[in-house]
Amino acid sequence: MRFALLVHGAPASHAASRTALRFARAALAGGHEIVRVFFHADGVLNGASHAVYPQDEDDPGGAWAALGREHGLDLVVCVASALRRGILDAGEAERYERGGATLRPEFTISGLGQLVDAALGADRLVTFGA
Amino acid sequence: MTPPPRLLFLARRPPYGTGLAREALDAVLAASAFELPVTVIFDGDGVWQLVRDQDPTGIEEKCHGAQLEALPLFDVEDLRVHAPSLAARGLTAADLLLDATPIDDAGLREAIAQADRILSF
Repeated sequence: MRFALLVHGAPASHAASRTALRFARAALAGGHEIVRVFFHADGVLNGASHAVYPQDEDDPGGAWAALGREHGLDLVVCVASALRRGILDAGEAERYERGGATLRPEFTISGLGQLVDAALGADRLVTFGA
Repeated sequence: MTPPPRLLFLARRPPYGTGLAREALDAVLAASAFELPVTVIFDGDGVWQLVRDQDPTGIEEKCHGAQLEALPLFDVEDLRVHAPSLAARGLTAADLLLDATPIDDAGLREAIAQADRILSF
């Protein structure tokens, strides 16, 4: 089956990110396809490159990045949600004259059209955090 | 040609206090730009989004209700409201700023069953 995931929750304050991670790992292990993970609202904070976690805690954003590298996942943060939360790629940082990129390189910034496109391209869209 | 998938948006959060109501509205408008059949159901605390005469100037927020009123202009016209959620909050159809079709539990189940994709906010 082809899944698209929608993640609304911030990694440090909401279980949604970790739940979605476990779902993604289980789906991939079961031979299913993840066509896109769309991070929306506070979920965009999963892409924050400057997040630092204590050594004895899991870092969900880092885990998404690792899973993305391993499986070539399309990890997309919503541009409107991201800009409000200080999550910028190099292009947005230059456009808005901010100090530098704050988005992990495994993620891309795009619009809500990518959420609709993912919903249409998948057999199931599963929402985490709402 | 296969018919386009029917998208169902579940608006379950209050209009203020968290940003999800606003971000849901952004997603609804994005879907309408794809010219897909879109249904929005206001459920649970989401029914507060529909209350008329919202004035959030005191909390320095944009008026969510005013933005909802623009939905029909974007051809998002299938708006429904879960009537038991209204009743549980002491609200009636007369309190609402939009003409949303009241549905009961069975109507909610039916809408969820008929949708091809569900986006919950």
